[in-house]
Amino acid sequence: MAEYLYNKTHEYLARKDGEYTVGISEFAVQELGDITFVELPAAGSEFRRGEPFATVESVKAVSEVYAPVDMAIVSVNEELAEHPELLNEDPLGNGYFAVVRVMDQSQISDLISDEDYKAMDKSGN
Amino acid sequence: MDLDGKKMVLHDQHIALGARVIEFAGFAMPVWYEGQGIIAEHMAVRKGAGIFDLSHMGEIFFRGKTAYDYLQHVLCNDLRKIGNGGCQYTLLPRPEGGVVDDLLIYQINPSSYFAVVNASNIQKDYRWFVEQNEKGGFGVEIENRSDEYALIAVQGPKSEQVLTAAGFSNVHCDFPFTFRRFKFKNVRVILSATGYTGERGFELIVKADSAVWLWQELLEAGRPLDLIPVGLGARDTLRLEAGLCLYGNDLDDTTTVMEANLEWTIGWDKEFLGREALERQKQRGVKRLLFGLTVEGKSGSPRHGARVLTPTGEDAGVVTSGSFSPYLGRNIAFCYLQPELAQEGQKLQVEVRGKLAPAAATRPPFVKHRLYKP
Repeated sequence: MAEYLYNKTHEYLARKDGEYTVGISEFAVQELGDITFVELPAAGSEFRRGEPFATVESVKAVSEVYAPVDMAIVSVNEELAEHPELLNEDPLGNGYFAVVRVMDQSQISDLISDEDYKAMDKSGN
Repeated sequence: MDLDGKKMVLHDQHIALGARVIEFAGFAMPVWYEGQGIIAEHMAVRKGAGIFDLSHMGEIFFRGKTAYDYLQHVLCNDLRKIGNGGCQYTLLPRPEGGVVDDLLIYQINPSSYFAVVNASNIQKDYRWFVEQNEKGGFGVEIENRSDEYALIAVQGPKSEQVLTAAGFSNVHCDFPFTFRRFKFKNVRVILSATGYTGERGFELIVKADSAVWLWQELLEAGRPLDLIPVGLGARDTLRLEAGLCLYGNDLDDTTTVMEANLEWTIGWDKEFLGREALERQKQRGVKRLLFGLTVEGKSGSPRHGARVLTPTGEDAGVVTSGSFSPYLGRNIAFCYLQPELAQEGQKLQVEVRGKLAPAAATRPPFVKHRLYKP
């Protein structure tokens, strides 16, 4: 079972079998509506916490996706680039953005637990 | 979310249907509905039927013996092309050829007309109409009755079935750009065979206090026919595919009727305000022309203001409206191009969030209109 941790801008960091993936929450996907294009970073690139690492485009809007922690891209989800609708169908699973290496483990404790994220008041975003 | 927009008469209905609401032209409007989304709503209109709340649109009435002469003077299209019960797409040109607004003018008879105008331009249009009426001494009685009326559209190949199921007898939209005044279950409805989607369909104008009732009647009757509510998001993608201009994006006070590639709306056999400027442009040629482009391959959408370049990087124009096309599965846009580049298939590049994507000039509409039965 993967463990999901979130930041306030609705990205997640998931940990499963010692591997980390990043993506955006179910709530974020619902807010964006139909996703038509996803732009992913290059493998090997590094991002500081809070830096945009990808963009998501829905029919009406373009949104930046921010790094939840300092991270290096190990590999990206090529399937998602080819089929952006995967994000609408399965944001926490097949709609992940990239496998990453967490560069500063201490930042993980700053993220919001799955339970707290679900309970969070998300209006005003 | 903070919403200062004026709530329309059907606001509660939209909320109950799960609408995502945004502010547009000062009105709180549904942009899409939960569980559907822009793409599903768009495809419903292309393949079945969708219902739209367009109550934000304006209705301005003209009455008097000189109404015909006055409207022939302020509008560029020629009213002689239509008769009583006919309506027409037309523009309100400025003396320099720019566009005050684009609108539909409806002829009840030669001394009684009304216009359906863009929500964002209601006050501006009304002032313009009054000013020209005074300047020319026409003495037409002009009334802005936008708050009194609601407009509901049913669009898509199943539109007639929806209206028939709701109890309208003998309705069809075989004659686009005509309208009838109807008594439907004792409520007066103006039923117009018009739309903004390129599909067969109707626009229904009723007094605002009957809007909730009419909306429910149509929605209920249409349910077995898979009629769904459609928000502003799909309205925009549908009109873009259909190659129809959006005022504020593709048209404004500085774009002339000739530049907007709307010469077909100009009645050259009559005098009207702005004619001289437009005639000069016709003789000398325009410096830019509204045209379409299709982005090649996978990319994001070119948005309003994005630059268009030639394959060798020279300036070619600017995007005015751009979106993913749900029907075509590619990104399309309206853009002002240098006229010599406005040729089907002309290779171009377009800026998409700072990067250049290959594109090809495309003559609108991107999706053929299907106003007539196959």
